[in-house]
Amino acid sequence: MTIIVTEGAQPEEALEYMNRNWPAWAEAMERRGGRRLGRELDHPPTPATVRLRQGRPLVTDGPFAETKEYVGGISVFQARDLDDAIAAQSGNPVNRYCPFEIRPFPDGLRLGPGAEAFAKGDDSAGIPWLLSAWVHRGRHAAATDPALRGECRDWREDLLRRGRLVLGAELGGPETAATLRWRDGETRISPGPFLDIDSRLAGIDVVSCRDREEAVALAATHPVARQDAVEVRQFYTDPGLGETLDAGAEPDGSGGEPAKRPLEDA
Amino acid sequence: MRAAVGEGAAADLGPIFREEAGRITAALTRRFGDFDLAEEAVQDACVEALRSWPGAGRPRRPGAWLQRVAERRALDRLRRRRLELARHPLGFPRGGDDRLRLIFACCHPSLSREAQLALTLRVVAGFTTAQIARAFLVSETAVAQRITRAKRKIVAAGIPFRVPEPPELDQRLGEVLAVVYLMFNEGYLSSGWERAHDRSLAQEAAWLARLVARLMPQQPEVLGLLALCLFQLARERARFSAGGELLTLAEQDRSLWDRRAIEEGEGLLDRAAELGRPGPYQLQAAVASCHALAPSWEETDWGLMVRFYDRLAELDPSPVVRLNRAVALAHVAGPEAALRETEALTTQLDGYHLLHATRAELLRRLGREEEARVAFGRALQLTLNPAERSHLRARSGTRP
Repeated sequence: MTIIVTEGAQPEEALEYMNRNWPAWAEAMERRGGRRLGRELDHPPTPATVRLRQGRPLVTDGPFAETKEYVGGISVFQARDLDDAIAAQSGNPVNRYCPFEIRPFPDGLRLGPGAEAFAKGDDSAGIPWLLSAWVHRGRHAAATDPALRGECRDWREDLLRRGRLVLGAELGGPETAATLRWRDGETRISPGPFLDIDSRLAGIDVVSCRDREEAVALAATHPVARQDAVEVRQFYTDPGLGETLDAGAEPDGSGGEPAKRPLEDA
Repeated sequence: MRAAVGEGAAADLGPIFREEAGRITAALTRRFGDFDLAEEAVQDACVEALRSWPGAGRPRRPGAWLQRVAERRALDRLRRRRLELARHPLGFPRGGDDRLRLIFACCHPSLSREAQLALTLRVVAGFTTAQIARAFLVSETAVAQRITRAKRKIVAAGIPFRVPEPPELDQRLGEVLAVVYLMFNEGYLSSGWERAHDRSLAQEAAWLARLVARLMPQQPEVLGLLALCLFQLARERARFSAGGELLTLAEQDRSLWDRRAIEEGEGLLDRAAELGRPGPYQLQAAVASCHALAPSWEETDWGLMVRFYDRLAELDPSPVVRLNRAVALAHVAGPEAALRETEALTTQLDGYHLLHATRAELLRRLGREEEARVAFGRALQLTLNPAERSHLRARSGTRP
């Protein structure tokens, strides 16, 4: 299952709340067990959108969907079922301010050797980029088409062989999504994806690349780019690197200012 | 299920099928992890019962008979589909009542309200697609699609078949009660124009409320909802005149009210009160009980009712609650005070016919005839329900 966190700019008290309550939640997640990987995306977002037209990559600066809110981060974790996933995430202090969308990976998740380092915020082996495959609603059949899904799997395996894949998977359709929002003092669950737009998020991949140019070139080889679009975004890289993002590690107790809002657990 | 019952001949088997079908469907769904399979098998068993019972006589334990046959049919169907026997793809936990799990899965908050309603009616109450389509005035195809999508979502999104535990239980139970109450209201007084009321849907909702109350007797809001349904259904025979006109509580012949239902409702409210956790359904039922217990309109305990509404408004500060409170207040503090209360609601409830109807009544009592007529007119514009329309026309003194 994955969580897609969406957010606008956060006010000061929100950041303060998240930082203060983060350790307790991270500890609870630690006790819960199971593998968890996740990370915050660049803020403000600086995406590129890649489409393949007449065999050539057509790159536009800007997000795939022009919306006020945007995906602020991803989290991947194991859950028994939807209620288990909801229970795990509804205590997340970030959810107090940002809606979460939960979706399953029906075909499982492909993990590369760099997944752990990625979740810890350790980018020494390469900068991680998020490639989001967006398929237009008119081509929903394509999104669930076994042939296209098979192509995506092959593409992913090839990335893995070339040492580029951090993690990646096809997502369950929008009908499998549930969105969590904090309202009136409790977590409310509503049906459907967070973004109500003409396209569906069909899959996500985190790839390791030298720079943006390389990430965009890689996105152009994504099977979905042929007919639809692949959005390229950078993950947030903590200058202090890895310490606060690793929720499993004990805080160092130095009393130093938390480097930043810790969005994700490792 | 009722689809198999046919309209007339074996109608007396209807209650048995209704009572048993949901339970058996739930049990088979748990065992085989397949909604459709379970439903088809139960359907088969009902057809089989219709064929063999009239000749061979009704078995001593019809429920056990139906379950045995349904299980056999499910296995036959599985064999035919060359699936492994008794597989558990959804990993259902054991113990407890299966129907309760089924209800919570059907009313999961990650399903849309329409999907929750359709799925609950289909899977738990055993409605046919055609019956659901009629009840909600939508096409059968739309209902079928809605149900198929919802079922697919339950599997694909991993919605569990489990009764949630605290702290989630309150919110999830709220979803279940909202679905049942919506179903009840839809049946009791539909907003569409084709039928003034659909008794079967309201009865069905009350049956569901009773089922949940039986399975969760320690939940006071469940008892409250069942009491509320009973108080309203108790007035069923008195709500319409011989000519089909909707009658107000003031006009109804109270000797037609179903005393047994009212007594049961009172008992439920007492039990709920003992649990010491008041909630919106209990308070709405308490208001309904003020009416149910009053020998006449004039002798209604309006003061007590206003107090119930005050408490209700604390829990649910919606404008509709405030409007209802204003109606009761008119009897305690006079029409002028009540009219002032409604003034504050005119922007929020401008599209709600009962706001204008209430204002019209209050204005008339204050002798402001012209304003009253305008308000009646506005109320008329806003409702399509034939019984309500003719009632409003009669009150405003205009002819159709």
